[in-house]
Amino acid sequence: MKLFARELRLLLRDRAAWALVLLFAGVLAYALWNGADLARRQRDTARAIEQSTAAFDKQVREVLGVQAIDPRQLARQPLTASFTPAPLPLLASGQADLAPMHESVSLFRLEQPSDARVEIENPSRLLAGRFDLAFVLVWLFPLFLLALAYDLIAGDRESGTLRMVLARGVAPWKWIAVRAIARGAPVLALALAATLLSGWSADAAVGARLAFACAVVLAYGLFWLAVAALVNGFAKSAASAASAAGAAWVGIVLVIPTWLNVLVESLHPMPSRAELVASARQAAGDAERRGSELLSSFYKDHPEWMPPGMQADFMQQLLAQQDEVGRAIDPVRERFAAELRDQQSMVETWRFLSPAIATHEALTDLAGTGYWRTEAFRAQVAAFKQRVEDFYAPRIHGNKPITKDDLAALPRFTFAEEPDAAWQGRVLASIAGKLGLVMLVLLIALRRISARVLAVSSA
Amino acid sequence: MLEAKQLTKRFQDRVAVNGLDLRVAPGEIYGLLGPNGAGKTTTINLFLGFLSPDGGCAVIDGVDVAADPVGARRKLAYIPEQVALYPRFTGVENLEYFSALGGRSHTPNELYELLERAGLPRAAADRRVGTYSKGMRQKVGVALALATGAKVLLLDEPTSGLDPAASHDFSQLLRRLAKEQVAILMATHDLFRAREDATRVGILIGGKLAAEYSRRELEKADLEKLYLERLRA
Amino acid sequence: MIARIARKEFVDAWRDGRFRVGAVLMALLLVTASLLAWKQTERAATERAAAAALERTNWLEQGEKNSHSAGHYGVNVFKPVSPLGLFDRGIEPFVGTTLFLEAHRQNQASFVPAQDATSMRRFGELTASTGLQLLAPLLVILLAFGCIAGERERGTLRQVLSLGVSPRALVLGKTLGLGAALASLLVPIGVAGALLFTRLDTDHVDGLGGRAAGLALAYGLFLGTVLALSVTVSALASSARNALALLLTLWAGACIVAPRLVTDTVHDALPTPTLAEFELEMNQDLQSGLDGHDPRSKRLEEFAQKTLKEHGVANVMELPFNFQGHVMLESERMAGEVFDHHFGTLWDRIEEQDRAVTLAGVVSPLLALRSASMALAGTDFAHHRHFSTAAEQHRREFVRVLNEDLKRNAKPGDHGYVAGRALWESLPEFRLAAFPVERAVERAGLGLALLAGWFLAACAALFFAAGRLRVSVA
Repeated sequence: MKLFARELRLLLRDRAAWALVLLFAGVLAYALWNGADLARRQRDTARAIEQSTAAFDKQVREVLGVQAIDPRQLARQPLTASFTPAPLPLLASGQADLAPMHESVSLFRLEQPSDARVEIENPSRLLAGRFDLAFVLVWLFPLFLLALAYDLIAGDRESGTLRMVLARGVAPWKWIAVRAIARGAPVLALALAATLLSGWSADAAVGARLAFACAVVLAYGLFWLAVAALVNGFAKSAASAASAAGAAWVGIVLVIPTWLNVLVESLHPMPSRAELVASARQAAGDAERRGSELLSSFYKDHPEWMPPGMQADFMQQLLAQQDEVGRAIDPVRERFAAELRDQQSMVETWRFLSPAIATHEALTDLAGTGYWRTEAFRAQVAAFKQRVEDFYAPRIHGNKPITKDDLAALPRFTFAEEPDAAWQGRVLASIAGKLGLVMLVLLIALRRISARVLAVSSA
Repeated sequence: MLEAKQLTKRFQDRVAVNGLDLRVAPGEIYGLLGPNGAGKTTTINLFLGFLSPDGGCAVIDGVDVAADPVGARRKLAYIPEQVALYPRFTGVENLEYFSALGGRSHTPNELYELLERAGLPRAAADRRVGTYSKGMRQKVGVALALATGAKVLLLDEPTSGLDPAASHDFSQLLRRLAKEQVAILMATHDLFRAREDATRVGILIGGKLAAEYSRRELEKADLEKLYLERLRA
Repeated sequence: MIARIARKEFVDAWRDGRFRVGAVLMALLLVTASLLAWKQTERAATERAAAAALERTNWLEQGEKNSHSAGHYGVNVFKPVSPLGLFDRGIEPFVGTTLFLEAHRQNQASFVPAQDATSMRRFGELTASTGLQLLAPLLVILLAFGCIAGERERGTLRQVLSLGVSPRALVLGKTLGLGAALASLLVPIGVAGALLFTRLDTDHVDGLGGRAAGLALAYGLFLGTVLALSVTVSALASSARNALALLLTLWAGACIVAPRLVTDTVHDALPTPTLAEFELEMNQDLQSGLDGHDPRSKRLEEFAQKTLKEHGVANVMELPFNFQGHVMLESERMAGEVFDHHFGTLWDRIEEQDRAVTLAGVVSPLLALRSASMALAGTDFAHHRHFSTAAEQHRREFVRVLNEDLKRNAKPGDHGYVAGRALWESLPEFRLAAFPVERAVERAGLGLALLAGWFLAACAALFFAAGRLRVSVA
């Protein structure tokens, strides 16, 4: 404890350290402020959609109160599936600037790819990425930690003071540990505080998510302190400790993730969107040409929908065609989801190659802007499309008007959040894996940091 | 020929060299003694032109150092306390590089010969300098002084940290150079070597030459006693 | 003398184990990244060509229908892959690849590759360009941080200067030697990469050689700047350790923080509308005209009256052509004005944002380099806009031909008119004219100019630092 207090005092006397800590605080504050913009935009969009959905609902209710509606007419109105804003958008913007916040679902365009429309954004901004909290925590936080803690003993070793200290009987690992924690403490504390602050304006109850986020950040910070210790076990001078720490950062934060990214996309290449579009149109053309023949075969599959006297109207025919197109291209579309799933599982498998990946994955998962929640939205929209079809198709084929009694059964979309246990499991695994890595690194470092090795090599 | 006239250097509030008058003729070995902080290294730096004087001038072979530092340096050789070499180069590569920078070109054989004259055998000359002991580095420094053929040699505590045998070899070399009419200025703490080798000894205290002894005076007196007397005066 | 110093520095660099390890890693990364990107580029090119062929068949075999209906049937065009994109993918992963051309509407390119990707994409992509932009400066720093500060600490600096070497010659020689060591690593890789380009289909690229030369110039200036600055810092710093710390801080600031910080700041100052706002305003203008008080119905009514007067008839059925087709032509023309205005404003804004970010290259040379690199590789927004504009021109022409056909060949009031394969075949396939290399160079001009400015400033700093070279640590 005395050692710890002494180290902290030393740190407080260091003007460069003060500057670093203050800079880090400033960077965190900017990231929180900057991330608020995206969160606000998401909330505004969600609110606008909610209002227009409510207005439409009210209108339908009013009309149905007076008269029945032809299902063809109502089905033509597109329904909006709205993605609930992420629980912790300030923590990590993740895919939020790319993934659509809502999708339009319309019976007669069910086979139209839903992700065709994109929010307006300068592509260079998507390329650069946002200055959000996750950026600061994953990319910059380790830099600040290393800047404060890279020279745990290397400098003393170089100047020879290490020999004098060791000669006084201080256990080197203890000295390093205390030093690392004391020097890392201010930056760690700031990172944790910012993580907590990201829940400030959250709508829902996010206590558990914040607690997990703190654990993720803490484990990540400990990993980098362990790296600092490891580097000091090997480096003979402060300069070589600094370059080794820098190299570790470049490797773990820059090179491995980008390389893994390229590898994942090369091993699990996405099928061609271009070919999907073209083949969908080919299928549609075929279906249209086969026209009435198609319809009769359709009614063979769905005798319950066959209108009396087999007089199919235009819309019924359209639905039958759409069904056929779906049959043709659904396998291709499924391949997109499957490849993306494979990519994600490959990322899951290899994320511990670089704790930066594991941390980024965990933070976006907690923020609700990562793969899992977005995937859940996609799946729920697909299910919703099915519900829309199941509701309208029999009514259109059977020429059954929609009445007041159908009000409750009208398809409406509400996004159901994943059960807490699902994300907790994933994040816990991530934290455990990272702590395991910390242990491993510390073990290697400890073997190097024995008094004997240090005393001899600093001669 | 090496000369200081009223040479003065101030650092902020402190006068490091104060009106120093000094003259080393060809063939002379001048031992500059003095406690730590007396201004020995500052004097060497002034002769090297690494510092510019606040008064007076340092002259190397007729060239005013302050006016033309690069030209003055071309006329001298310098061996510091720690001869600094490039660790990833061999001894002979270091010598070749440094002498080329000094404007001399030598055949490989000449370089090996120079190193051998300085006391470094051929086998050692082909090893990387990173593996050298201090004495070996010092020998490369001497070889470099030989290679440049300079008529002025500046030494900054050249024998500190050398073992007695190496120190002896070094002084033999110095004497040989002096015979070749080189003017040698040697700043040192090594009273023994100063007494043995120097033709004249000056004691520098507070940037001033407190005393000067000729060869003849040194042979009669005990240098250590004279030095301590001066220091306490 | 300078040559001798440079030669020694060159040999010394390659004898340095750290540099050798860094160089091998760098070479490995550049080579694997380029090969993977090459495969991807080839695959994407084949896929899009196949899709384009299929789409042409779809178009030709759509069957007989009203020519305006064919306009609604529409056609998909696919963005050709820029072969230099294997060097610098630029914004390609973040812009749509497919554009649906149909009557009445100008669409935006859809299917953004990044949407079909995991959030790993946020770490960026390893291409030769990112390697050279982010990692090569680190290699330069590693090579140069100690080149003078280290010699000062070791004492060799005193020794070298005591031999009568002028400080400027020493610093210049060192810089040249280190530059040569770096070039001996990167130039062969660059040449190999250039050979890779020639194996790709480069038909629709204008001035490949010029672009490659421009890229070499841009990266040369950038790395030259980094080298000169590193040597300058090494010359001025009190110790090698401080030089390294300062250089790494500058690197992190310029290469990691600046791109995001500047981009976010610029976008706050020059915002783009949201999709909802954009579509709302455009639809309003489509209805009530650009000036806002001239409803579409009123203008079409006036147009009808004018047409009747011109032909001296009282009823549209008496016109010598199909009036529906005639009106369709006019309304497309009117809509075209609105589209030109709105898309033009939006795209101008995006280019304005990009220019502002490039201008911030005054602060971080990386931003200038990125912009120049993307422009020369053909993967910047200007190239994307070129594709979007060309596709829109194609759309207008193809819708015009279809409406013209309706106007000419359908009898007045005939709703049963159908056209067939002959008409479909008369419409050419979409071919994107190559983006002229002069315009690409013009786009890269600002970035290149800033890089040149940086390079000159860094050389001046180097010259200045060499003049005030301190010899000893104290």
